Amino acid sequence: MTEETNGLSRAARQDAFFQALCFSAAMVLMATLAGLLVALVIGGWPALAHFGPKFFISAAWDPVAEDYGAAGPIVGTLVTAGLAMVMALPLAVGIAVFLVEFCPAVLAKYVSMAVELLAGIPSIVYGMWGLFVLAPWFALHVQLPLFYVVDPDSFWGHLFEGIPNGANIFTAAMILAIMVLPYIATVLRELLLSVPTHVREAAYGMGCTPYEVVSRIMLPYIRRSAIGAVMLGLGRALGETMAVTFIIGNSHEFPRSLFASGSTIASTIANEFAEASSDLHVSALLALGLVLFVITFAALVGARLLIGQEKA
Amino acid sequence: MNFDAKQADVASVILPPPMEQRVLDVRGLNFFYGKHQALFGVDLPVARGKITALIGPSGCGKSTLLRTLNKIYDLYPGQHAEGQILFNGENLLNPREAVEDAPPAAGPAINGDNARLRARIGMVFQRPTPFPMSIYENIAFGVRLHRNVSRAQMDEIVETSLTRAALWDEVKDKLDKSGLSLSGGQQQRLCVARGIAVEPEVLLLDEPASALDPLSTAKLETALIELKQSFTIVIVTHNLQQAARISDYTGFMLMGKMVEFRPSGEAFVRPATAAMRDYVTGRYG
Repeated sequence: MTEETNGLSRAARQDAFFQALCFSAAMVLMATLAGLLVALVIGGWPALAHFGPKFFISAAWDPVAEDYGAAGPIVGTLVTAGLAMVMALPLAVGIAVFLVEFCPAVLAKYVSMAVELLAGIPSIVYGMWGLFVLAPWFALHVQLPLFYVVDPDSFWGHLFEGIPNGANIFTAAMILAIMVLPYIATVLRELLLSVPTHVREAAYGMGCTPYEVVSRIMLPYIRRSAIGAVMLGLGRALGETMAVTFIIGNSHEFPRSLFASGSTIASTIANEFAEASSDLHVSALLALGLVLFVITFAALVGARLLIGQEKA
Repeated sequence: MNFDAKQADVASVILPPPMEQRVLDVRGLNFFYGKHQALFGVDLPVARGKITALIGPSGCGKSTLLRTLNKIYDLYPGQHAEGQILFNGENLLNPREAVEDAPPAAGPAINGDNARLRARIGMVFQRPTPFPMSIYENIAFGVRLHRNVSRAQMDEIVETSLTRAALWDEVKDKLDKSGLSLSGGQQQRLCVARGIAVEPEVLLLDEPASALDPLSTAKLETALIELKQSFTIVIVTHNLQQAARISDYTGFMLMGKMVEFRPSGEAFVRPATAAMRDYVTGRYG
């Protein structure tokens, strides 16, 4: 009897210990997150206090005059990441659907491998490829022809305005799209594979064509989790630094066209942190970091809200 | 189940419905999962407007047989069928073959178009498979695949189908709720409603009640008996009482062969083969 009680209490002790262990693991994460946020707020505070709300709407970024405004990098970040998602998402859906529904098993292995390989390439390689291959090609075969064809005073003229060197917001978005593509495609593929066989068979059993099964049944079936896949890609696109720094042109001016040089928050920080001379400059960069933190967080919360809405 | 191969070798007893009553006629069907043969020269005549039940121990091939009738096995590259499945004046397994004595065509040629075939031979699966959309849309979806109807017509089709599937009273106030919010039994009747909404000639049911409680099963059976006035039904079931209660013809299968096929009344009261007698009386081997 006593032995048994001892045994039970030992199990209970173990249980409590295990719970505490898991709890502290979770708390470490929370503390890190909170610490990060606090450090960014403290570090960025001088700049935020100095410039006030102007920091977010001013496009000035002049280390000599100590005048910093984040509008250029913020818009650059949002536009490149947004464009990248617009380019990558249809491709990713196409890849995933092809792999799951149409691809012969032999080929699927190799295509999957290629997709995974794409995810494993270091971002600096993408950056170099972007600068040395994509940018010149883009300048010669897209920007220059458009330059001659499009009336510079028209809407399109303004949209495509820019120095034809291929280092601009659009090419940066293209690189980002290639980089996030494998993440989104892989997750979407897993999700499509998770659609129960009987649901798929039922759809075919109704007389659906393969296109109807995919578009009307399978994609809606995974819609909720697919938002997670998109957010994963968006998160990566928002924060991607090296490849973007290579190709975006690193201009602090507010981007006025698709083919204008620009900068993102991450590229600005990477470019200037080592050389930031004054305290205000460092503080402005930390404030930028805080903004990126908030944007990424907002994207995640937005995704959660979307998912919640769908449940109701 | 301890049936051995010898019992499957017993001469089969087939008392089919007359030729002119058949809507589907399977002749000499062999089926293969890759290299493994699962059906051996199976015959299955399906009478119009009747319920045909397929029974037999697990693994006897009854579900496999059912899945050939709307060619759903076509989704899987390793599976293939040989022989004749005659429907609409054609051999579904070989659309170009000229068939002399096939059941007459009742609609446009199918010509190997699986989508068109499945609009005319619907299927309800073992597990309820509502689509991720509202109850209304679950039914409207299938109808829209095959024809254009006005909103008013669609409302009517939805109501009629749900009524025939004995579900209307339970869902009429929540048609815009997700099909997934229903109970298992309701989901299965929704799938039946969805299947009949496209007005198929034949409805295939693969153990539709195996995941349902007795009350839901009873409701489903009532619906099926009502439905046979308008549709031909082929049902695979493990439940012998169910087969005896609702079916007009019963096919007993064993080890990939059709051992006995007769009107249900006679078949259950006086099985003609030792194998079926053992099976229905619960004396295995």
